[in-house]
Amino acid sequence: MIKKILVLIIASISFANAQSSSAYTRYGIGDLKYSFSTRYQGLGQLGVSLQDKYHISSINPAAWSNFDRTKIEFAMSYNGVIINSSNDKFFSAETEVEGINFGFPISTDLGIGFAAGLIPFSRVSYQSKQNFSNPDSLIYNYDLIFEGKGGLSKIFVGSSVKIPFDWSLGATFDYYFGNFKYLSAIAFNNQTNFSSEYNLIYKPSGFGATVGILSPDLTNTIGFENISNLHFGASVNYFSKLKTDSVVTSISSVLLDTVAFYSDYMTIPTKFNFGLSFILSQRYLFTFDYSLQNFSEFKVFSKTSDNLQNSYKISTGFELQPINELSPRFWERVLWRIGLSFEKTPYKFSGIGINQYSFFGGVSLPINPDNLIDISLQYAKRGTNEKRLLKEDFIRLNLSLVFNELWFLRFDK
Amino acid sequence: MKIKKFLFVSVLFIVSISLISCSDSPSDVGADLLGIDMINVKKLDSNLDSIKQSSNSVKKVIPLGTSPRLLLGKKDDYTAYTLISFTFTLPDSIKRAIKNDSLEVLEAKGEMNIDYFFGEKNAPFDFSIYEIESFWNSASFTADSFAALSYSQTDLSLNKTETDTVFYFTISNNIVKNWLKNEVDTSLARNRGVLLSPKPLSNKIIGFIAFDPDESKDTRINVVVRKPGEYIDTLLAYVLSDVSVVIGNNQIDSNYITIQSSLTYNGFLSFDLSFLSKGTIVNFAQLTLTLDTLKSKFGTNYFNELNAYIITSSDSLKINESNVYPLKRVGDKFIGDISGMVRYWTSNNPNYGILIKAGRETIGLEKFMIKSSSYPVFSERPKLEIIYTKRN
Repeated sequence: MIKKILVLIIASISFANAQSSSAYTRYGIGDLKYSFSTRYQGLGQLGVSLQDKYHISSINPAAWSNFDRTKIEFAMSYNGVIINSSNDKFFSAETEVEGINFGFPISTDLGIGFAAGLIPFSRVSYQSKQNFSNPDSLIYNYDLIFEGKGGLSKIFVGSSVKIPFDWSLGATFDYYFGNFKYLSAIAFNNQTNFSSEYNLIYKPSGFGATVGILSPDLTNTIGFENISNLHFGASVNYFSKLKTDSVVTSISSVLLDTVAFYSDYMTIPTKFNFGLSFILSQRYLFTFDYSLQNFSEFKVFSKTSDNLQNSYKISTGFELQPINELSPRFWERVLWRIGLSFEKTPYKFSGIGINQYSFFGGVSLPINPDNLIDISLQYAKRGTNEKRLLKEDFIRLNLSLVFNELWFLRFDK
Repeated sequence: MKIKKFLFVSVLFIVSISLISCSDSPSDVGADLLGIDMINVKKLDSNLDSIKQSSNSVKKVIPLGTSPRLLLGKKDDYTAYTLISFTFTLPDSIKRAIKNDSLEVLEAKGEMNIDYFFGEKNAPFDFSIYEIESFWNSASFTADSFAALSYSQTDLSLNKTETDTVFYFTISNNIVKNWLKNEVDTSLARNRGVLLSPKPLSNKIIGFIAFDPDESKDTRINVVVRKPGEYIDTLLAYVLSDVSVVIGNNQIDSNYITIQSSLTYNGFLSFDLSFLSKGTIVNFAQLTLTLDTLKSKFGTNYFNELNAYIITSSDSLKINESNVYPLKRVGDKFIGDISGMVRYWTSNNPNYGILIKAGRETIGLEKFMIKSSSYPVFSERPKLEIIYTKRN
């Protein structure tokens, strides 16, 4: 059944042919994907300090230390965006596969959990088409088309372990790969002129690592009443220099020519994540997170970009925990959550930084005590119309299927 | 069961979302931010931009054996000769009579169908017919071969009559008898055909329909034969092979590119396109040549088109004949799309220039006088316009 669902998801995605963001994503590595799991999306996309027995945190591997089941998580998203310029607006939507994660406990006593997955790390997605008319009869009218597609993806393999004082430590070995394709094309409206198409393609690949820590429940240390599950978490996401092949091709009719080929490195700055979470009155989970990445240090082929700045994200989330996880009543087992975030994105144009404000909502619908369907909705506003920049309104709907099964566990007789 | 139902609903949900991922058509929103990938459409006009060009005329004698037209006559500095050999299809009785030398030729009257005039239609025209004594082959015989052609100095032609469409002549019975003998036994007599040579008083060149197995209007000779005391019969002499040659030269004026069929003059044209660097996409290229209508000379029924070819080797201006770029006549211009040619040069192939030929280079004597790269009026020089795209 799981296999069939996966095939269906991939098949459905292959029809998607639109855009999910704006021309801002032409710069750097595009829009950053902070979190894979739909639960974390609903809590403001981070959840660095969450210790989660149902989901696989892709932001802090230390959170895997309390795995008690084998987990498989598939996710996909629907991204709709209204892009406003000062005199026009444009709607586009795209459905994307968000990836697959897999994890299982090796030793619940030692907090050794293992996880692996394939998830997107960033996404480039834009289209633009301008009409030009030319009085010269040999040129006449033509369309100038820009299109960006692709992004960076990550394959990770990692593990967690309990360390002294009941802290958890986790680490992943990451392999990054991607394909950034930037198309510039001209299509003439007459029948005689051949079209022009230039493709700049970056193909980065290389290794990285994520190391995270998670505190034990600090409630006793602080001693607040009504507060439980007080955790602090932090993670560092390090990238080696990604070896990047760059090729520029020109295509016209049947003629394909490689104009230039380079091979050098892409430098992605280290990302730091911090989080705090606690449960109030046994039912109300609060999360507070902060993530930063100095994108002014981002380089492709040793060149920084004037259109990139240091970015950070502050988010907070609230989750209403179920009254009774084993209740026979469906709605009593449902988890509800909301989140807010402010993000200073990596983009900067004409000295104006592009900021993003997001509101999140989400729900976990139990299929049975171990398996969930998570749904989250994000509404975000980004940008400005000053200096001919763009204002964007996003709606992102994430859906993930979470399967928890008792595989690979050895029981004593 | 519940799980299955739930999964089914989920999959349905996913597929629904995929299907509703419809979007507006792309607009110009955001284009201002994409200057980093900007590409520009540009136009080169060789008459406005400082592009070096050069041109000249090149005489390149070619065999005219495949031409559907035979040329004969004299006009200005051009003299057109025609070589024809005839053959017969003979019944056995006639063959026996020829072998026994008992067949007489009473009359041999030829007719040539006119399909072209170069010069005034009513201008004087006459020609002689000489027996050819040396070997020739229509596939390879050219104006350059003509000087070495050996032929008798006896005019074998008689009683020539010209109508609007047919030219009649009578030819010596003796030579026709020799052809008949040769048809039966090559050792009895030779048949190397005849040379039709214009007389000095001629002031026009006439085009006749040449040999064509599918055409009944090519040159024929009706031969009346008699076997004394037995019968009189008419035999038909068909063209076995034919070819024309045109002898002459043009005064070359550097202000013009002379392009002439049959003689044969071709135009050479070259533009310095070294500015089209690697990565430039050629969207369209158009060549325009300006004709001097007063200096040009045309016959009747001519093909008013020129053809341009890529010169693939600088040695003897070698071209790929199958890659033709037609230049169509529009007013006093010849205009053609040569995008493929310019794209060939920008695809790392050497630019040896362009060869321009008459649209039908083996038919007629059309002389196209094209204003050259050194023509005093700049705007009337050969014009190359290129629409191209360049990435910033």
